[in-house]
Amino acid sequence: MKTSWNNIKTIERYLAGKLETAEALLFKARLLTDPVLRQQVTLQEKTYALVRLFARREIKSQLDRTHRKLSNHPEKKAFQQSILQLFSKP
Amino acid sequence: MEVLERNNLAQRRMEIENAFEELYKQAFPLVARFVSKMNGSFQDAKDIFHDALIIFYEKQIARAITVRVADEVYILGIAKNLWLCKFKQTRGHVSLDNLEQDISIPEDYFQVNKENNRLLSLLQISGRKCLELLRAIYYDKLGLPAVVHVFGYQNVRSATVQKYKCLEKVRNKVKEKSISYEDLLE
Repeated sequence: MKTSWNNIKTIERYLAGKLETAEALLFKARLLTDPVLRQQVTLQEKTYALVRLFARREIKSQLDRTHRKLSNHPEKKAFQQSILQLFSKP
Repeated sequence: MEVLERNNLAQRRMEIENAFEELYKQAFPLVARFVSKMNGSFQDAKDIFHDALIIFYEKQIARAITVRVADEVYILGIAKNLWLCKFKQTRGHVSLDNLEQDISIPEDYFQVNKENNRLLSLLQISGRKCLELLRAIYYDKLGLPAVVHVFGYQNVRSATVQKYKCLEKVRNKVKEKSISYEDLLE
């Protein structure tokens, strides 16, 4: 495995709290002295956060499609009516 | 191989879509009734409901739902909590039962900043395939054998290699494109 992938794997295990005790101690010591490693940890955290954001956006646009489908389908008239009448102000 | 790959991915998407559609029919009426009672609009109901479904899905994946209640009851509980998050100051009182009080909303859910939006748009142009793979692994928590099947890799090893390639690619892109790059070195 490439060195850079080992680095990614170790950071992943660190962030997930999955490093063994000795490994974790060593890693934290390296973090104190190695600004590049610190930066890599931050970047990787950001990467996971972006994947999460991507996934949520994808589901949202899929739900928008489902919403349109249920709002326009002639067979779903009863469903549409029951929802809409909740919001019709007298 | 290429055809198989697309078929499996398309099939998986279809399955997820159908599951969401079922939840839509069961739970949207309940959430809509709650929102209308709170004097919210139809648009409010839709927004809150979509967020509630996403959070419900995340909790299911994480096996974080330990109580045995109907899905739509739990989703309504999430929706009430979301309503409180969004409109705490302005719109009225929501009383939560014990079940509902125990429901947490993910801390990062409403903390989307401009920087992340910008980065995501860039990534979607240049690395959509990687984002899809990483989503399957980290968000949908699909095991590697399932990833092999859905994405059409040769075996678990090649899927693992692809995972690291993608993580590296995205991480490098984030580094290259971050405005706050200097801050990261602090």
